[in-house]
Amino acid sequence: MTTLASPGVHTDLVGQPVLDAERKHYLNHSKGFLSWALTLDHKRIAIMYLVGVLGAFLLGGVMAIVLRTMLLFNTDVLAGEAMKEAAVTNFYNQAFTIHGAVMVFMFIIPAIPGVIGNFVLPMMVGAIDVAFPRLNLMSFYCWLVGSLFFGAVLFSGGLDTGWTFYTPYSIQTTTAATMAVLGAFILGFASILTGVNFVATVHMMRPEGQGWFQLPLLIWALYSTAIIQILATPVLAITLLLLAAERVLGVGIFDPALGGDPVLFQHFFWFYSHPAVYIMILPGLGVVSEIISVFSRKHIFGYKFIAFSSLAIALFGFIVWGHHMFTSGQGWLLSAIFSLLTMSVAIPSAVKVFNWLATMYRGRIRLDTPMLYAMGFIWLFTIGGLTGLFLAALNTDIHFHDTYFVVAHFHYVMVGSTLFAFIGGLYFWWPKITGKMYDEFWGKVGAWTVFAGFNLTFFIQFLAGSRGMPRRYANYPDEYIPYHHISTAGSYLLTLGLFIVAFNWIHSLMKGKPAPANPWGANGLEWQSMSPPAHLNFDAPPKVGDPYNFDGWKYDKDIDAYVMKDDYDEIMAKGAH
Amino acid sequence: MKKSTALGILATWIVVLVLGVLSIFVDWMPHDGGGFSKDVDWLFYFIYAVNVIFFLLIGGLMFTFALQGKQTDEDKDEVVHGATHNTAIELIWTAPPVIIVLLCFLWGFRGYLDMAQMPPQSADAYLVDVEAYQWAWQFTHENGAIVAGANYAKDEAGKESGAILDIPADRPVEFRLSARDVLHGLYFPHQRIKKDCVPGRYNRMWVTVSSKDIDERNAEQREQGFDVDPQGRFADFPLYCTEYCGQNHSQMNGILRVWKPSYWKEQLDVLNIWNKENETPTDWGQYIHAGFGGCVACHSVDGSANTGPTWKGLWNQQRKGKPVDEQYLLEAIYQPTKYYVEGYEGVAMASYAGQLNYGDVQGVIAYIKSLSDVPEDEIMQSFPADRDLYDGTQWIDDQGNAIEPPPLD
Repeated sequence: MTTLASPGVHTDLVGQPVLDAERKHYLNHSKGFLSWALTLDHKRIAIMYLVGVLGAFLLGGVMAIVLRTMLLFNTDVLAGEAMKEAAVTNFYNQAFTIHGAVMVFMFIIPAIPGVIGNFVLPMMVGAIDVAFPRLNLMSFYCWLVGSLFFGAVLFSGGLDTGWTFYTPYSIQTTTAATMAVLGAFILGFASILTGVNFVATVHMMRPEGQGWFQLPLLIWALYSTAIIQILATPVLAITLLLLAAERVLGVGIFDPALGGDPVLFQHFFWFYSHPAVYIMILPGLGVVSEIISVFSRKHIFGYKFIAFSSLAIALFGFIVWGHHMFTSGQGWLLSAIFSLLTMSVAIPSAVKVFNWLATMYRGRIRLDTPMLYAMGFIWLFTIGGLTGLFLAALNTDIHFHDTYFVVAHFHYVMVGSTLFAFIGGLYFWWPKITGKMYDEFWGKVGAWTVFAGFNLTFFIQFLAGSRGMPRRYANYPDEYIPYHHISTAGSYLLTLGLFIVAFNWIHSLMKGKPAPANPWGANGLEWQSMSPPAHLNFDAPPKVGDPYNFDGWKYDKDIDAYVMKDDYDEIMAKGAH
Repeated sequence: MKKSTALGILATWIVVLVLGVLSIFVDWMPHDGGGFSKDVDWLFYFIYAVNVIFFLLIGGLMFTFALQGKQTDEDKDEVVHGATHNTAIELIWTAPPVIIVLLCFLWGFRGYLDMAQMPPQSADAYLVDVEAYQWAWQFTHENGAIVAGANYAKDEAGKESGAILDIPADRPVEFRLSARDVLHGLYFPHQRIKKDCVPGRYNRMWVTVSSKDIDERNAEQREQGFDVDPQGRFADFPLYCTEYCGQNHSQMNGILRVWKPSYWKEQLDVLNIWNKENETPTDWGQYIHAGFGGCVACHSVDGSANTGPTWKGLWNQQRKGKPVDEQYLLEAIYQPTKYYVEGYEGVAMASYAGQLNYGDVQGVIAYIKSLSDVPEDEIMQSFPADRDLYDGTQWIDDQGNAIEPPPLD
């Protein structure tokens, strides 16, 4: 047993992982299946979430490649064999539905809160765990059970409603819509429980001296996300239950044949699912705020504006759902109000981008893999955000609604941005989570490949959409062939890039160098723990300071990492300048 | 500043400039086919300019900052100290987005009001009733002519099939949209307008296409090597279903055919003559098949395969030990899931109960008989009198009295 040194003593802090292979940390302090399956440790739950959401991402990704490949051939190969053509069309419809549903409910929504949030949020407030560890474990099992329902859908008729479950088609389809709806219902609880936990943790478990404005911006983002998760997800839950009741019991709520109203479903559905878009993107915005500041070696610019813009996005997100229904026949006044409210979301989003740029201005930019992803994020989020203007404005949206323009837009925002923040965040906290360093060269190769592949896949879809290509089409008129060919080529490049990322991670786990405690010189509390952290996170109570004041750490060439200065406390007391 | 850094920054802004210039030449919108194109395109290109300028500035600055301050091995210890906040700057750079989004909103709202405000009924507006169903369109004209179909196609002989929506030029045309089963959406990309077809309610949309638009469209099509009407009487524009509606969602492409006013009356008569010619039950069945029944979406009449079995030679075939006869067909139309034909398991046809009445079904049966070389005098033999029948709402005996439904076997 080595001495548990205070984190101020840098030899122990950074030397220990190398010197002491016997060191007990959260990964090896107990062994066996049950020590994981019944763990209450937020870090182990984060690892289980990581494995789970990456599995979901693989499933959703396979479906994406299947549908892009089908669009490459435009089902012409089977022309003349109409029975097969019908089978192919059905298969396509299932592929895009499962791609969307799996990616949204099982990957993007839980990814950053479930993995990165679970791992670092308690550590960022210097706690040993979240406020309700058992609820946290239950959240993961809700995710698992919900996902198993979706797995069962694949083997019991599939699903062809689109991830939106629009009525009345979702009531009439013979595919396993009821099972999928119940799966999404259960997945919703996973999300709610994570949100409750984060709110309670941030409120109750901050250490002495850490006020709201000493919190890292990721926490502000996760907190804003949690508000949406808690307030919006129940609406989805009841909507999906009503849908299931209609399918199973024939209660007429949404189906006009039974006296219901199909547009009511759209209102209910988007009342959750538009805020859910911000469940997907807000944590990404938080991750990027962390990376940009640390890798610019400079205090974040406009902390309060970034923090409050997260809250503003979360609150505005609740009152814009009607912009999904401009063509549904809702009244013109309603459409106008929703259009105006939607425009308001652009402002906090723009404020964030400007503040990141101001942070980078005159920074000492360290162009490592996490920073490449963060810059990729800014690029994609800017395109995604700016193209949102076309869709928020009323008469241009009438043209673009349900075309590939919308597909491209939301992939830039939800997928490009969130995926880049997720991968970038994982690279950023990878040394902390795994205790291993990754290969920087292949990290950068992967980042550039994913970036090129993503833009090739989706930018061309803006053009296809503005020229009229409707979404969810198994085959399409000849004039759209070039767009689809380019897009499919891009999707293969994107896949290649993601495999490079995956192999880099696997290589790091197997062959990676032991990670120092603070490889980036960051000042979040989590960097005061060892890599990987001990079972109870910190060996000594972490010292609280401005998370973006990097003066308290100095670079140590021998270990290629940063160690805490002896006069850390005085430096923090002086404050950022 | 090092020379390589300066070159990198220079290269960044050259790329920005090149991209900026290239962006001018991208032709984003489809050909202007009248309707709301002018208005929508104006706003589109305004927002597009905003997009390009902001994006290139942000991208260019981001790369410039990254190159300018790139960390080297020597300065890893350096922490940059500068302003950490500046409320004045925050407020100043919040202003342009606020102004721009308000402009976008107002401009979009103004254009949208034109779309949402139907032309007055008393004006010379022309009304077409559009009913969408899985998976075809049905267009009912003011004179009662009904045209229906799904995927538009033209064979080598020039014979057209599928959905053609004929409308007159130079006057507002209003579309009254509804759906029979699930959501559909009617979309004219060249007129920049779409609206959902929602079961249980009427939605309305309208366009005006001018004769000039017809000539321009034909000139554009000719330039691209497509056939156009030699006399230039009409021009064709695509129409799509844009609300996902199940299996053959992508097979609901049709043609919006806009006629010059001087040819319109004649065309309306042409559409109507086809209705009047349906005199015998066989004709009526053929009309239901190709027209408002929409059977053509799934059942071919020439033996070729499709989503459902072909009707050619169907009569008297053996299906699970039973011959295809009147009773079988009646049940297959009203209770389609009762019998699954081998090879078509899982293809869910919707029941036509309540949509095709007893006479309609007789027409369909007569038509199927005629496709199976049944002699003409046998086609009109009525249903056997000793069978119980389903009339679309209830089971009846041969006297026409309502009875308990027979057990399903």
